[in-house]
Amino acid sequence: MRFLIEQIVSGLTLGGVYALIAIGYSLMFGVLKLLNFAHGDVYMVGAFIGYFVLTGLGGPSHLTVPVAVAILLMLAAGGLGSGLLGLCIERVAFRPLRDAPRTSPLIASLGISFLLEYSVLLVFSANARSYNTSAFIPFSTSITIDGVRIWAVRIVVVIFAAFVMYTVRTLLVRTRLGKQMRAVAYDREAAAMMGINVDRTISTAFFVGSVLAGIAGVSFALVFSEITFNMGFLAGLKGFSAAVVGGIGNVPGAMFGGFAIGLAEAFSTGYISSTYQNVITFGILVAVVLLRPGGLFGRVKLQKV
Amino acid sequence: MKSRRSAIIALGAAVAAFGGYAVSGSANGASTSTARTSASSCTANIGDVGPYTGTVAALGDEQLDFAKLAIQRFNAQYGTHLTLVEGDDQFVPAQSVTVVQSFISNSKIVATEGPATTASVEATGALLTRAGLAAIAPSATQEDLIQGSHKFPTIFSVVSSGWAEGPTVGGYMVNKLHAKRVFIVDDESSFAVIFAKSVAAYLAKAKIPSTRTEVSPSQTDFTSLISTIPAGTDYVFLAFGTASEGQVFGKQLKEQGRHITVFGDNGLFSPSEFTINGSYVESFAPDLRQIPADASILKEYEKEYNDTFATYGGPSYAAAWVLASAVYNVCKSGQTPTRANVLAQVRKTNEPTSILGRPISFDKDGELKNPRRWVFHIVNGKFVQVY
Repeated sequence: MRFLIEQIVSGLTLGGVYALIAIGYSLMFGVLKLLNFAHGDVYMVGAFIGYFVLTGLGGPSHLTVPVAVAILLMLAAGGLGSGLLGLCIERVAFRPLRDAPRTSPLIASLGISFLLEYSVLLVFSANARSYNTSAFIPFSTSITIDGVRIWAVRIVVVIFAAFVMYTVRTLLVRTRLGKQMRAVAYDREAAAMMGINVDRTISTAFFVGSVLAGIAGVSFALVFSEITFNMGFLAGLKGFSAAVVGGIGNVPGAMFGGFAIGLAEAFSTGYISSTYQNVITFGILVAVVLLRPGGLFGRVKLQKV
Repeated sequence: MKSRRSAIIALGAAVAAFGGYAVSGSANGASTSTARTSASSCTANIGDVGPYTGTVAALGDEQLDFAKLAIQRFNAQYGTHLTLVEGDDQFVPAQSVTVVQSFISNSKIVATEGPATTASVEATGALLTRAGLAAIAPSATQEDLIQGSHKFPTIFSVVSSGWAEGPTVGGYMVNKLHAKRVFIVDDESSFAVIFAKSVAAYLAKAKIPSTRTEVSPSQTDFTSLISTIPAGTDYVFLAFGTASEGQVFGKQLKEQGRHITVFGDNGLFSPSEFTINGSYVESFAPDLRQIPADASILKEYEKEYNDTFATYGGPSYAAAWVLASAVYNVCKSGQTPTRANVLAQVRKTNEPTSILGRPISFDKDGELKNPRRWVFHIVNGKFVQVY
């Protein structure tokens, strides 16, 4: 039982991060029907912004503000900074290519991905940076379930991720902006004819998706401490896989996919072997795509010809 | 900015060297003057292949900076005109092939420092051998690359092979630390697998129970893996490429309340990135900070690059210095520094001391003679040499 709880806690923490990235992918794909491969790097930039806020607040060992305030500021700055970066990416790499062949914005987003990664490498060097969270939230700040010690940071990250997901879901379902996004996702031309400002709606979707990526970056770094210029690549791939598993374009599906991938990683490491972790994760992706091409929560759109 | 500063310093060094030459030439007579004349016309390019970007960029960058410093200091000291030509292989063997191929096509390049990693040496060894281009690998530790089958006769090494890791780490764990049970993890990279196998083999011989597993490169969460560590394990050996991975592993051990001591390979040697108190780190090179004779080099490094460094820079500096010396010796003997002449001189290398605090010479296979490895204990954030 103890072993099982350990795997679940580990899976939920990683899953929360993947889910936040996956929702961003889904939002952007929903309105634009295009993949933004720079999304993983937006997540990385969010983690770096959080690090610099932490440093500005005195660093992990000498915080000048209460811990809760520091964490909120880091999450807010990481989210906001990434959101603005997402807006810039949409404006520079996607909007000018709105009517171009579908491969053009795809390649542009790959280019932006490398540009961001290597800009961070050149500006901040390849050295890893550490949040060193245990210096301001010691490991002893934990709860114990059935003999398993769960660090408070993990609990906070999972709860906060769930709260953010709920907020995004509410935004999409209950607000006018959400309706506009859904309308643009459903039929861009029809939405424009109904008076919806399509460009602004797409930009908003990019902003919201990127905010989530930034929050995911800071959340990840709070738990796992170390951040590097290339951390976005694999996380982006996992987030993308989560979005596909859930049904890309479908927000609840992305949440489910994130947690599913996180738990699959934890269970494969715990019960099979860490060597096969990525094989199993991406194997699940292939299996889902083969069995349900639209993802677990998605629908395959029938086209009349 | 960095390159501009380097250029200014290199120019300054060249002017200083020229000034020194003029003074010593007039004071010491003709023989010095002749040697200096041959050195001042000694012009050659030396390639430098390494992972300056990619997943181990932090280490590759350190290697490049130290190699540049070696050439800069050599030029200043001997009045030569050696230039380092950089080639980034991104820690991807296929990219190493592209870089090495371009070096081979460039007739001005007479030798190369690197490729740095085992996999890259393996990918490029045949090309380098065919081209007769002397290459000194500063951190490739797979034994059969150079030795045994005499696979690549133009490749040399300034560090000991990975198979020496077993006796060093295993021996220290068994004889000094009296380990009872060891958990071994590697990150699937070719050198890490050798380290892990070598330590596991040593422990098996000593009848110490051990469990060996692997993690995917760039894995960030080890909590699930840590929960599989058998009870009674008192040491975990991590064969990882980067110190940040080891730091995460060590922290997550603490997070789960497991009282297990980390013993890392040379990838974990980084006083700025791996700070788990009480841990041990094994390295193929010494900590230059603990060698008094290196103080002036490190002062210059700090002034020039203002960056942290682990144990990867020292071997790179040593490799570049050996190549520069080989070129210089060719010039001094009145010959042209061609690839064949430089290769012959590299084979004759007999440096009585080096930045590594040890002599450098190669056996018939190109392996370092009398190799050794080091063990450090992290005490209050400091890496204290214990072996």
